[in-house]
Amino acid sequence: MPTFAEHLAALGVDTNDEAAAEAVSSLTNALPVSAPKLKSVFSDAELKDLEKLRKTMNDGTKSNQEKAQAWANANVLTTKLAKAVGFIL
Amino acid sequence: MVYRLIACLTLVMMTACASVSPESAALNAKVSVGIQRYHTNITMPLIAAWEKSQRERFNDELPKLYDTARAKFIAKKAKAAGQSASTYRPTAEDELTITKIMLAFSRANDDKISAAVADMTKQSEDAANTLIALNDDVTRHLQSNIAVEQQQERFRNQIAGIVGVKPGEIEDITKTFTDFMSRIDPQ
Repeated sequence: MPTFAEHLAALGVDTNDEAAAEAVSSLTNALPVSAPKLKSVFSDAELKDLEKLRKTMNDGTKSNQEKAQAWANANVLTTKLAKAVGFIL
Repeated sequence: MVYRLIACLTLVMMTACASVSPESAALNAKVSVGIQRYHTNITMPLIAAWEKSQRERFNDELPKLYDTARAKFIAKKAKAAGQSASTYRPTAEDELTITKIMLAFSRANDDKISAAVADMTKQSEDAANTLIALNDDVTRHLQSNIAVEQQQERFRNQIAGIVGVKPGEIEDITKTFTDFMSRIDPQ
């Protein structure tokens, strides 16, 4: 972000000139911009705890996905077996 | 007969599990949408309102600041020329210099406001993204639970078909079995 001085230099204003320096001085910090500081949703400690919980839950998700796949495989196998032993014609 | 017995036992053994409503994943996914909307519809307009107020404040103050800066500039120029500020006639170059100074001031102020807006927006976006990512993980977890249940349900129905039990009767069989098990082992 270019500063006031950098913008002056870019426009070719000679700030060594006493009159220009006086005008610049009256404007420097004339309108301070104070942005409201937003508070964090979670503290660092809370984020660490959340990451641990998240990992545990994601491990559970992975395990569930494997289980769902296993059950899907079991469904296919059961159909084949049932056909083989004559339960489904 | 042996197959039917095995199938019947399998059916009973696998029916006792916690139920996750399919709507829970859909509902939870809506929470992520809500977080995004909160960011877009509430936080961002607040930031935009702050930006607008800052720019209006600048526009309101600018004439006064211009007068002050110009007066100081002219006073110095007049003094250098051995004149009083009231008698000194500013040159075109003087006017150009003071205009450039005000332009630089305006640009610097604009940059400060834009940087503050970008910073606030990023903070809000980061917070929203963190919450959305966490919530999406919860949605995926619920979906995975539902997927397990659906596959188990399909399996139950298959076995029930083999055993010759109607789907509505599965619960009765399970209840009888769990009641029986709880009498054997109350723990």
